[in-house]
Amino acid sequence: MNESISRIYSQVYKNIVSLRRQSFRMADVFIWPILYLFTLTFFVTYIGSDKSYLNLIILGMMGWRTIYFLNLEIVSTFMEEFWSKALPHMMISPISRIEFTIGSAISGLIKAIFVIILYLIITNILYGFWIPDWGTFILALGFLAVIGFSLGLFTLGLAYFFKHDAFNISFIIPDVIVLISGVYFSVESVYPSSILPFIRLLPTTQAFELLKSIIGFGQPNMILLILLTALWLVLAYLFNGWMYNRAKKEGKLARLG
Amino acid sequence: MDRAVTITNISKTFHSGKDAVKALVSVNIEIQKGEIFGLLGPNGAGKTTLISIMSGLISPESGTIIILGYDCSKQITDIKKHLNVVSGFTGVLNSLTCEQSLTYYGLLYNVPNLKTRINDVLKLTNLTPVRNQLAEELSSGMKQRFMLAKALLNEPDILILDEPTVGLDVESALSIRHLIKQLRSEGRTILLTTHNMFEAEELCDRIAFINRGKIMEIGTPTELKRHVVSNRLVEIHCSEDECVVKTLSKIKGVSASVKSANLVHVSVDSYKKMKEIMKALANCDSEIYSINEMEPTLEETYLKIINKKGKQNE
Repeated sequence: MNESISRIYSQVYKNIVSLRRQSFRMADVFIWPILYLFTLTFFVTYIGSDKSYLNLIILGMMGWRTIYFLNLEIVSTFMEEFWSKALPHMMISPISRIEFTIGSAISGLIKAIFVIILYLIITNILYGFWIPDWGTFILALGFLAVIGFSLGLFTLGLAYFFKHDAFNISFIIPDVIVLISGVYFSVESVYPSSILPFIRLLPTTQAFELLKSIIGFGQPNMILLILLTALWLVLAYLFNGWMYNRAKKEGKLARLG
Repeated sequence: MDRAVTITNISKTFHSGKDAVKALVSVNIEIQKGEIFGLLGPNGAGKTTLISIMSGLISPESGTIIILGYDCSKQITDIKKHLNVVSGFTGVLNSLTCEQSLTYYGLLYNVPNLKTRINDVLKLTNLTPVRNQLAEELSSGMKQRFMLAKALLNEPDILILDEPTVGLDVESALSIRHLIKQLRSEGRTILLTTHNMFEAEELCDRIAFINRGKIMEIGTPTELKRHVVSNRLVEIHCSEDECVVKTLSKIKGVSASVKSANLVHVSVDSYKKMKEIMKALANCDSEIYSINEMEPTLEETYLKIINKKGKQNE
């Protein structure tokens, strides 16, 4: 096996193999997404709104889970090494910070895909939900995955230094995105026009607009989406590298003694 | 002998607000291939900072470290492939069995024929029976052996052992020391930090005493002991202690005293006096049962060097 691929695979192996013995992480894949799905879909069914709103909620949840898993998995993979005091073993190995991030992001992606398939099966059976445009759906999820990866890189940069606090932030970020990027609603209908230009300058807003456009709710600006996603990725990469070098300089990366 | 590690003028200062702590001050060390090199010093002396820099966890402020011909600041990934660390203070990954953990670490180092290598290191460390047990559930001694198994996976040319027997019972510490000796016989270069002087003396070819970030003295255990001792101490087991003391006290440069019944301690300023001592003892009325040279222990040597140089630096 190629050296780099072996190191990337090491993170996927660790996360997947340890999953069945970690009830908290198991619940994150099998319990919370289902509870969350039923909470929102039952509410929409209860208020008797248009079926298109039900579809909006289901699509929003799929997109949000993609960001959530990518971002959280990168940070929690690092934090679990830290919590078990095994972090120095990984940090003295030849794995680079990028190989580590890609490896943990892949295991996050596997979980996201699993949950999305689970959502598709459940919502198809219960509500007759189906994806009308698979090309746009996969493209939108692809953008959201890259954005989740960027957020993970950013939060990991914080984790090199702040450890527990950074982990808390990684939980907060996806929920803030729900609010400011209109995951379950149209941003135009909620935010004042003075704020809207800033909201639209978030790649998350544009990516969710693309996802919602499948069912006629969003109006994405594709050029803006591509540029902003690429910009966030570059900025997150640079920030992560800067924090890594600072932590290494100040002896906060990992401690042997 | 080739050099495995060359540390030149390494300095490191940690800043915390307005405070600055000098962790390392112009440290120079050379470690030869195949030797066990001991790094001894009190807590906070700079041992962990130095090995953290060597393993790429901390970047130095100034100076260079060359490991197996690779520059630590530019080629750390190459160095990491040939190096591994066992620390008495690190933990094991939760939720993974010993075998799964070793598979994970093997993938990190891209170990060829991983399954065979895992079998080998488990056998070497006597952990084969617990291969399917969760690593976190192992006893302290077993965990330390597991750390060694992990560190040997990539067959490192350089092994850093950071207090590998700390907190272990006598039996477990003994088995770790036995393993270290076995590794030396395989020709691996080992850097050992420990507070256990007996362990250092038993295992190390050369030792560096470090205190307050500075190297105080480097040498073989015998060289270090000679360095601090001005007079040789000889112990004589005899039947008439007073007679022996009286006889030997007549020799210039020799002072003798009764240590306990039938035991005389003799301080000699030079080995050349030994012939004179033997002659005098031959004419003495006492029976002589044995004559032994008393070496200072490494612990005494360590304390003398650390205290002496510490005072000089104040």
